[in-house]
Amino acid sequence: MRIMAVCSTGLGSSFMIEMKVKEILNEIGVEGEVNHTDLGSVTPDMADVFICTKDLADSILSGDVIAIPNITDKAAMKEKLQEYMNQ
Amino acid sequence: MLSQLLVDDRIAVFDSVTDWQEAIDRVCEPLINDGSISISYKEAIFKSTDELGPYYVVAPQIAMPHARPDEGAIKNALSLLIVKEGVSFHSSENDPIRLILLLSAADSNQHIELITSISEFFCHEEDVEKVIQSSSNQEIIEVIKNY
Repeated sequence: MRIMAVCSTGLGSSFMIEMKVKEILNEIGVEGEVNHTDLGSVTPDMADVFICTKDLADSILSGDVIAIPNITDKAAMKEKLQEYMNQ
Repeated sequence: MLSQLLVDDRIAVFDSVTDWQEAIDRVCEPLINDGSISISYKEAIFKSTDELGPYYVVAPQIAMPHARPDEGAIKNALSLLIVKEGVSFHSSENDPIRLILLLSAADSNQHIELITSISEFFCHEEDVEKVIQSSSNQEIIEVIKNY
């Protein structure tokens, strides 16, 4: 699975989200390619799912988007990722 | 890393501010004054907020405003503003915002280390709360020296 963390500049929250997602994938034993980028660089083919802060989610128009209200809440992020994977 | 960059004159504690625009003004001021960012960096934050909403609100009470390095980040730098009564950034789930950490990332290598330290700090809720409750810069410095 390819996961792309997105924020407006590609250097703030997207990077923090990437770190958390990598930790989560490790914990649940799922193989995945996780990267981060800025909103302007997003193309539909660059990932299977995009993940970003809630306030930015409406700006991502391509593909599946997971919106995270609180990037420090790893448990909630894990739940949302698992929910997505089980679809 | 945080404590190296967040020195006394880059920390400010206010009881209240009028609106989020004033919060951005105040948190940018020390870094504009010491040449870490240009005025265009602040303008880029305002412009992106108008276009995208509060994209830098990352958790309850916490905002980490920043623009792109090419929008006027001159040095790697941080500035911290605490607003005791909180201020609305029009964030659906995370208002009111009380901790505003301005990030200027000019150098991409050092930036990785910096974001890692910030993330670690934000994830320690009890320390975030201590910083918000602090009444002096010294108390804040005492907490962030661990990061």
